[in-house]
Amino acid sequence: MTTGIEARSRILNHLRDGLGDTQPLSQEDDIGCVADVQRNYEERIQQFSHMMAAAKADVHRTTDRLWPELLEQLLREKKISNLLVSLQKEPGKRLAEYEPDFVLRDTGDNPLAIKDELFFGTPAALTTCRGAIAETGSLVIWPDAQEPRAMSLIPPVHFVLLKARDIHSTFADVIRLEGWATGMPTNALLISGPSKTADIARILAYGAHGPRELVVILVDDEAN
Amino acid sequence: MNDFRERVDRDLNNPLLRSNFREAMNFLMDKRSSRFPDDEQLQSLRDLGASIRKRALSKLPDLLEQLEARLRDNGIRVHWAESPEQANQIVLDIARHHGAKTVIKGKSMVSEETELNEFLEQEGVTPIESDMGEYILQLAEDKPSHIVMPAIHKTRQEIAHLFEDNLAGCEYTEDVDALILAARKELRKAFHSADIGLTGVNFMVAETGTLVLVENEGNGRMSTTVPNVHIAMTGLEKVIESLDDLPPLLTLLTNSATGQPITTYVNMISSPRQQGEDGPEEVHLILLDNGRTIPYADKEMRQTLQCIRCAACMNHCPVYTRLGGHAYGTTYPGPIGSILSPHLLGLEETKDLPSASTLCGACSEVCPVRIPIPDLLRRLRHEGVRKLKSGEEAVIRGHGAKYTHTEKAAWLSWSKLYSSPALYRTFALSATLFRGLTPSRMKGWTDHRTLPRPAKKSLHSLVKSYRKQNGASL
Ligand code: SF4
Repeated sequence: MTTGIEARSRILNHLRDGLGDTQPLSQEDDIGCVADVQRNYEERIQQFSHMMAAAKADVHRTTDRLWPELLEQLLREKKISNLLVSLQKEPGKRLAEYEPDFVLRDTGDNPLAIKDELFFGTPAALTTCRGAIAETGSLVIWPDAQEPRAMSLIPPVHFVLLKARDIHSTFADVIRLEGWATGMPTNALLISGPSKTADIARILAYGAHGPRELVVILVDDEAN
Repeated sequence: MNDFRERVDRDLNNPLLRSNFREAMNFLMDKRSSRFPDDEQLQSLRDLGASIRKRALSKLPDLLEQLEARLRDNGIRVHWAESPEQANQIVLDIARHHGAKTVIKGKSMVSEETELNEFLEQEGVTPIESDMGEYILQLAEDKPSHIVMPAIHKTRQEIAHLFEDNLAGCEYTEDVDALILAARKELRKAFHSADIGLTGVNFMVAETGTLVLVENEGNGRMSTTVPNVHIAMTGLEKVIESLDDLPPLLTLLTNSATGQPITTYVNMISSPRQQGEDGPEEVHLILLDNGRTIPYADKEMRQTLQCIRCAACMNHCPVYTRLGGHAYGTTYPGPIGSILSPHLLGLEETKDLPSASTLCGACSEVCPVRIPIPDLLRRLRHEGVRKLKSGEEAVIRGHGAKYTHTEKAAWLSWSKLYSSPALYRTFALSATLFRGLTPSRMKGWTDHRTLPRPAKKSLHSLVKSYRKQNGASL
């Protein structure tokens, strides 16, 4: 049996031999393109909300002043009495000041320490996001120490705060405008609805492994 | 593999299976076509998809080295495996190193290809499938029949019985929400305690050293987030050059596969967890060859490696729709399987697969990266019956596996007959004169059809007499 290093060089040699007289192609040789759709601010919001609704996510449009109140009302309707949130981030601080009628639980600064709590005692979490994509109705999330990956994955209900001006038209725009190629985080996510499966007889069921509900709180101050 | 014909007979005679597949494929075809209303845009996007994949393959060794370097810089360990055995051993070594008892798996067709589950079980490590479809199959000790929807051949009733028999406290129910909830609860426990998460990969970005996984359920995210170690396992052809190449391929993949504009999750992993973050402490990538370098060496067959595993070719294939996936007897069924498996397993083992097609072209019409599947099938048929010239090197393992002297002689006579007018006339005359002697049974053909008898007069002689009566206008 060959060792890893031998396997590596044998595979690469096979590939190099196999190349023959193939010339490396460059991006200029590409043919075809993606249809170019220009969307203005309001169209981006509309398209995003439409796609999210089609994927069975809820989108609530509100303002910066009113969102804590809206969140409180949503939690009340869903009969959720406590919410996991990072109290070190702006939204967590706002909620703490607001003194809502539900319990605020801080993620703290060691996400590994809250694993059991996440699995067995967290009905809902609120996270921020980097932005969103109108075309596909996707949230762009780069988890970090305060808002870890598991927060948007394990609790049954995931609330997300999104600023309307952070909605881009396409994923390609996001990659280009934000310069993703120059530095990717540990984990970057696009989330486009609640978790789902059609693996049993092609019948769609929600809440397969991730959140059963995805609720987007869309903060739009330009409308007012 | 050699009892391909037996399996075909078995599955063609299973009406429930046939109607299941017919309905499922209709469903998937409708979903796809509803997502591509504008044909011009679709064709242009397919051009781009094909260009991106061709460009990546035109510099595959360099991109793999670049990918490896970036991943290493990011802290991800890269392993190379020439064979399934090597790949499995690498997984086992990592498991042993961590004293792991369980490996929770996201969906990975490459791990099906290497038969990882069987191997780990023998070695005392328990693999747990967590994709709902794969989980059902593991409980049923069954194999995937489709690469995107692995348990598509299972009915709701079968799954209800399976859960009743295997999940503690789960009563018989045909309510899909209840069934999914039962599986979710069971698998949550498994995620919580698993030592290692193992997944496949949809794309690897050389530019940034990023592994991209797409899925709807969240089990891929769970497997790559909760356990302390993540192992990604994939074929070495899945690399793309830059992040800019990703959005068009994602659009093509999800729309072609399930008619979704995007999957619920697009999970991009570029490193193990950093200080203060969650996620695995170690991330490993296993790059598997398993025969992929063979088609790479042939410019025509290299196109096989453009595949992004969307399954549209099988959803649209009239043969797959009638047979289902199991009859093929390989990890990858349908048209893509018929052009890929001969390279992975050799033509000896798979010699019937390139013929399991009507060459209708439906597959290449929908393939998002424009793989000319019928051309490749014909090429493989040709390689299967061709004798190598002296000094010529075989382009595929098991070259000439279907060659027989009888067939060779039959075609030789056929070509003699059709290239000599005198011989042809004699043949046509005797065929019409002695038509009463046509045998009533002919192997293969008459099993399912009646044999046509030659007509009383040949077309040539009919035209001749017509011309005699009506002048030479015909
Ligand atoms: S061959 Fe084309 S259609 Fe078939 S799975 Fe691959 S990419 Fe999809």
